[in-house]
Amino acid sequence: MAKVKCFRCSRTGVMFPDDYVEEWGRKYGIGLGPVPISEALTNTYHGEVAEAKDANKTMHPLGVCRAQVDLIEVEEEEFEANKAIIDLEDPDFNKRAAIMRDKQLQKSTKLAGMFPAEVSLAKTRIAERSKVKA
Amino acid sequence: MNVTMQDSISIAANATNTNVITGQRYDRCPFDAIGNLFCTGSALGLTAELNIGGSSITPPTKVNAQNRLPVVPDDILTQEWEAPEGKLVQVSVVNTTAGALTFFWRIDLSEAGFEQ
Repeated sequence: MAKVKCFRCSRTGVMFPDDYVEEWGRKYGIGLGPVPISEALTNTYHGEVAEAKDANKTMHPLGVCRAQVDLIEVEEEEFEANKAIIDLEDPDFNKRAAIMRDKQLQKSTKLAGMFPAEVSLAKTRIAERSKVKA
Repeated sequence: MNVTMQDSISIAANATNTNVITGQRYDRCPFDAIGNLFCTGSALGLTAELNIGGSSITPPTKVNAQNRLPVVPDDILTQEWEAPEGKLVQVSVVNTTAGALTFFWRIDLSEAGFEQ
């Protein structure tokens, strides 16, 4: 099997293409300063739940994890399965916010308490996403 | 005399908070002052706008994504603006993304005499 070089976020485990550091500030990391770090999003559970007009967008705030990225070599399939959605492809967070909210529904008792009917649906969606990856 | 306010607030997806300072002790300037506004966001996609007593100091301006409380002076958005006594300090924040974000802010006010 073919192996590819990539940069892995040391906190979330998502993987970025091998030009991540070279293209820092151009394709990646815009607005994140001069030093390459992970632009992967994390959930900030200590932040209060922000109630949106659209209930599907009511959630804890998202943040950039800013963790270290490590250059690694992995199987191409593994890279594709863990490939990060980069900020340039999803500037409005439409794809990423939906994924992160499903995780929040599993981990935050406060959010789960607000939307009890959605917890199992979120669990199903998470399972479906991992099936697609597999 | 110098006074400082600092806080963070969650901004819902595609939402506007017309004044994140509301309810703070110095949301109206306690004396004629020179002010500095520092801010950061938890990720890209926030814009901030400063008005003093209804006068615009900045148009909606992109906020950096340092995801922490502001560091002085690195995270300055606008500095040395005049804030006359009693005028409302208004920082409007817009979240342009589909996910909730946190806005971190700090305002320093230093007493100053204005020439009439």
